[in-house]
Amino acid sequence: MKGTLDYGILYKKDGDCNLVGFCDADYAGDHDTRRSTTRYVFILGWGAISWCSKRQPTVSLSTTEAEYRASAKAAQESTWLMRLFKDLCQPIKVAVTLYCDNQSVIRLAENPVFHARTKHIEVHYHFIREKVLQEEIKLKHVNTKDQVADLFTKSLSGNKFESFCQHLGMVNRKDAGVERGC
Amino acid sequence: MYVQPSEEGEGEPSRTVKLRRSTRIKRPNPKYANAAITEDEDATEPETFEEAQLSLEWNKAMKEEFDALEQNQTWVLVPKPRDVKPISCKWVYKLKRRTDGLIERYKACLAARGFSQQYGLDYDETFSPIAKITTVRVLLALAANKSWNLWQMDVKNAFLHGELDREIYMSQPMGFQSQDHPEYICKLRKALYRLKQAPRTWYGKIAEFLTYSGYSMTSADCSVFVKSVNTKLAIVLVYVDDLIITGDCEEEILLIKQNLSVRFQMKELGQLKHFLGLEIDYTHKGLVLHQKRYSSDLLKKFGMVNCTNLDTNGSKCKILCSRREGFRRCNNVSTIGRQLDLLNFK
Repeated sequence: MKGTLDYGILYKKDGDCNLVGFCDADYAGDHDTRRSTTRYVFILGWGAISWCSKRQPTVSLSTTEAEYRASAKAAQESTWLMRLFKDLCQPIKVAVTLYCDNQSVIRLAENPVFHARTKHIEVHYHFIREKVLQEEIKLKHVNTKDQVADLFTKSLSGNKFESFCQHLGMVNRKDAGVERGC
Repeated sequence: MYVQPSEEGEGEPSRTVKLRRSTRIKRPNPKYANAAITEDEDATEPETFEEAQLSLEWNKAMKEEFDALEQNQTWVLVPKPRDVKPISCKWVYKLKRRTDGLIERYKACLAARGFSQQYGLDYDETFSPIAKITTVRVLLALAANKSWNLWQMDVKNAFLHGELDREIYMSQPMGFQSQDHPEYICKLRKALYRLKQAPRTWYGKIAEFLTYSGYSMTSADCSVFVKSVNTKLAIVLVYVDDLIITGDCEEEILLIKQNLSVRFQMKELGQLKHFLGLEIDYTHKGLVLHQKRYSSDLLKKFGMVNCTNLDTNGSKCKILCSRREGFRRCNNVSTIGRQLDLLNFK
């Protein structure tokens, strides 16, 4: 904690004002209950604005299911954020890009294939499918090595950690050129 | 309980037996670290009215508060209706200190004993919306992106502005009973601290005022109010008695600030610098949101300022582990709460 005293989130002036999200799940991460952990982060322009790392309420049977639930959770948050932006008269015109590192989740969300292994995924987790159909959200694949949401649960190597921190807009105040001493 | 015999004990002094003592290094219990800090300070906050009565400063503070309440027309004195059980009230004393520890103000505050209110009879709804921390961040990010100015204002005695919709009777405050009618009780017109519905009535009041001034409440977060004037915007965020005002419509912002000051007693805090423990720095690149003071206060409180930095090799996991160790060492509920707060923000 002492080492991170000077760190903060930098929200940059000007530049683009796009909202992108990253979602990920860590399958059966909790050894006691075998529940998975949802993690997502939303980045506006340059700085992280909303993030979450939370154990899922139910047990998932497959990685896809765990990730699917995580993406549904992220979709909920993005829906709320979009509404907030609309209320602030800054509507987001294009679909929010949600990056996910699981191919099958993207396939599952984009076309309704029922499969023996996914048939038990409950109705409200198909929420994300609806959002994709309404073109509010666009799911995109991201390589695991660029998955920023990993920061919230995994222990990462030094380089990766630093680059992710940078991606989230986390900077040392001294580097950001803070004139006023505190 | 087993009592160890003392070394120079009774009986034969010649036969000295060396007792086996624990070699553990004795440290004070960190649980009571706070108690030690408060003892150092010279002036203390009195617990009861009887204690405070003896001091000149506290008497003055109570008089001030009482006058303010009278001026605000918080209550009217009425003869006690037959089937009414008035709630009691108490004086709460608070020392306001400056950052260097010197006493800035003696503050006495009249608080109603809200816990004796009955649901359905004295109050029904108590929920009061406050801004989500995500909303605050969204607003800051947006303001940084658009290079908007951020202003902060603070409402004095916010809760006392709320108007009550129920008839609530309270006994007369201690030390300030009416000379002519000591048997009368106070019928409250406005909210008082610690009444169950005080936060809600205050929110209702400020929401009503802002809506009247042409602002519309956003549906995504009830604590954000937006007004657009010819494609220009003014946004007000309400966090109980703290307000953040931003937008690109400078005239409207100036106007609402003036109107707010006329309607409520406001404290103008200028450019937004501290909000809910978050600190905001302005740089040529944009805004930096950090919690330096909060974290260093936390370290100070639990005596960890002089701890050495551990190189975590960039592993977040290790950072979390070291934080957990901190939990164990402090073994204090408030640390955990505060550290969770910190994790929440950072």
